[in-house]
Order: sequence, then C-alpha cells, then structure tokens
Amino acid sequence: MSTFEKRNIISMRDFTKDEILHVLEVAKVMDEEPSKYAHALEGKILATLFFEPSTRTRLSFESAMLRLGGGTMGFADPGSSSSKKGESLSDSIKIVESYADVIAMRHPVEGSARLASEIADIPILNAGDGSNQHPSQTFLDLYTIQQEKGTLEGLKVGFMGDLKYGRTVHSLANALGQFGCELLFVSPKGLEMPSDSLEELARMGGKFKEFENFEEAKGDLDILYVTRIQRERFGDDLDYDKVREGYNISKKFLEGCSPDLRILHPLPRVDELSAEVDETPHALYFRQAANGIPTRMALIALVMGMVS
Amino acid sequence: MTTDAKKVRRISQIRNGTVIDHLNPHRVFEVVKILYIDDTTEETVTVGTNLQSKVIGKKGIIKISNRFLTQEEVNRLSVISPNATVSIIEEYEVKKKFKVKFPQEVRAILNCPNPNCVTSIEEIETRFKLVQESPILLFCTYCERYCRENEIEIL
Ligand SMILES: [Zn+2]
Repeated sequence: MSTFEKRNIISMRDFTKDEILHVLEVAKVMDEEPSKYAHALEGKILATLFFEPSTRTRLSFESAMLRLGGGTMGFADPGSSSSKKGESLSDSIKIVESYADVIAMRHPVEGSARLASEIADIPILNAGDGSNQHPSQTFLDLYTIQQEKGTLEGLKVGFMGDLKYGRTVHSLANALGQFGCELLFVSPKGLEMPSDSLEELARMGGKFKEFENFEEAKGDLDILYVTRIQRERFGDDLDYDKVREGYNISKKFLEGCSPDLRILHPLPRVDELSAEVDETPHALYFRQAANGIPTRMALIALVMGMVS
Repeated sequence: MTTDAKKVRRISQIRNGTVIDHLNPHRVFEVVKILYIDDTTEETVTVGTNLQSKVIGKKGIIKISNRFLTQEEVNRLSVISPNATVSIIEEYEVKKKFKVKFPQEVRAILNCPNPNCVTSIEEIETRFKLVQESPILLFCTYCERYCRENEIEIL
C-alpha cells in the first residue's frame, strides 16, 4: 500500500481493496476518539471550491476540517467564483493553491478533479465531478455498511431506484463487487445500470443480477441502497406515477425482508422512502449521513500526513 | 517479386521511406492526420484508398518518401487501424517490417466522446488507457468513460 500523504482522492478506481480498508480503519478511529485529533491540523486551511452548489457535502467537509482543528474558506456559489468570468479551471486552481493546504472541490464537469490534481501541488479531494465520481460519499457508504455488518465481504446488496444516473450507485457497486458481494439491481425500464458499469463489474468477476421489481429481489438482502427517481427522467407524468408506486418503500413494502436488512439512502429523499421506515431497525440512512464526518476527517488527515 | 509487391509498385515505388499497408480504408485520411502530414510536409507522400486486398477486402496504403517512422509513431495508428503493417524501405528494399502495436496509453490524438469531459472543455491533452484490444475498448483517464471503436474520433 502506498502512503496516503500528499495523495489525491479523485476516484475509487485509484484505490486497492487494502487501501479502502485502511481508510475505513482510520475513519473508525476518528469516529471513536475524535478528541485525540481535535488539534491535529491546527494552522492548516481547507479550501472548499464548489463550482456547483451542494450545501450538505460542503458543510460536511468543513465540519470535518474544523473537528481536526483546521480552518476553512471557500465559495459555495458558482456565481461568486471567477469561473463565471471565463477563467479556466486550471487558473483558478493555481491561484487557490497558494491560499490553502488542501482543496475539496465540486465541479459539474467530469474529469475536472483529475485535472485539478495534476495542476495543484496540494492534495485535491473530489467532492463530485459531474456524473463521474464522488469518492468521499462512496467511502462513507462503505464505512456505514462495514460498521453495521462487521465486514464488506460476501454481503448481498440490493440497489434500487434510478441506477442509470445515480453516480453514487456506480462507484459503490464497483467497490462492493471487489469485496465479493452479490449485487441485485432493481430499477424501472430506462433507468437500469449503464452497460459500461455492468461490463466493468463482469470483467472483475463481480456477481450481479438485474430485476424490475423488488418482490423478486428482496429475499435475504443484507443491505438495500435506495436512490431517488426524478420526475424529469420521464417524458410523461403518468409513467412517472406508475413507476413511483412500485418504488416507494414503506413498512408494508418491507414485509418479508430479513429483519437484519439495513437501508441506505444518500439523502435527500422525497417520497421513495416513507418517514414511517425511520423508526424501524431497517433505517440506517441517518447514521450514514452522520458518518460523513469521521470519513471525511479520515481522508483529510490521511492526505495531510497527520495519520499514516 | 510477389504479386502483392507488384501491386504496391503500381501505386508508386519509393526509394527510401515508409510504406504503411493494410490500412482500414475508412480511416486513411485520419491516419494521414495522425502522422502530421499536411500542406507543410515537404516529403513526397502517396495516399491510396479502397484498393483491393486479398487479406482484408479493401484497404488503404500510405507511402512517405525519406521519412522513417518509428514503432512509437506507428503505434498511434493502432486505435483506428489495428491491422496496418509498416515497411521501412531503403534503396527499394524492405529493410524492416513491423505491425502496429497497441500502446498502453493513448495521448493527445483522440477526442473524448463525452461532451461534458474536462478534455472537451479545457485546453488539455486527452489521455486514454487501453482496456481491451479486440474489440477496442479505451478508458478516458479524466471523465472515466469507456470509449468503443465506433466512438473513437481523431482530434
Ligand atoms: Zn473523457
């Protein structure tokens, strides 16, 4: 395993299984003994460059840095950045890197974080590049699953909802495939997993199956990862309403599932996940959201060389 | 002299230089581009396309006088014409003959088919990793999309 110091966190594809497990181990330490690291990054600055708004991700990165004793600065509104004035991303990064020690960036263009990492001498944390990668989300999803199930190996994991555009699904599925999980993809017609993602899974020997409705898939699932189906994806409201019915998770919907089934959702949710599920032992999504902090603390501390 | 060699002669014989044969006839002019042959080129260049070939039906051929392509230069053709063969000619004799080889990384010569890829927006070199040779499958280092043979486009 190569050292994490000065590394960039751009894509899950850059990490081996051992490296992923190492990040999760550090996240656990941050989770259990945060006070030990409360001053670890005193005097260091995280710049959050959000060329596209995402309040929760930005606040989560900033909170993680503050909990490590560091400071933050940045912008959250693309209108306030110079990219609106036509400045190239390369120039923006060159300038900001002299202001900060580490950068977390979100950008609507795919590959922008990789480009930024080639330009900057300080580490870049990709907080989402278009529909490509969002590795801190994938790490926190993995952390949540491992924390709950005690392992990532050999689980049976369902993915349900919009699997075509849900980028968090693609990289999580890919990572879980590496850990030998059995993957069940449940999606309406037209929103299936992209064939590229499935072929990649097949090349690495991943086990998966596709379904159109949850009934056939629910059996003995350990984890169900739910994503939102957006109205905009359907030309016709009637189609949307029809699909929505079959993809609305309620207590009744979960009858027949294993009592140990745990549900994840990258939030925010609309009506694909009823509030009544919140009080059941199945609900894991609020813990998942909270896990963003120790996971991002771990990533920042690792690339800053504060933990090895 | 073999019949094949006679045919090559018919197109025009070169004394010294490089002959690239068995090119995909649909992509000959893109190959010309990849080799940086344009109106500033001083060497004599012959381009033939839709020629009959016993091996691949129709083919293209390019002959460049007084320029000796290296294996590395030739490998750049692999993504659009993987079956091409290259002969280095000295004093009308074939001195060296080789096939194109796939490079593990293809830089700068291809467009990423993804319009929302940073390489389509910022002025930077494109980079693809070779995932699979047959059929060709490339992977954009930036946007991480896969690119198939029919999507491959020369810059
Ligand atoms: Zn690309």
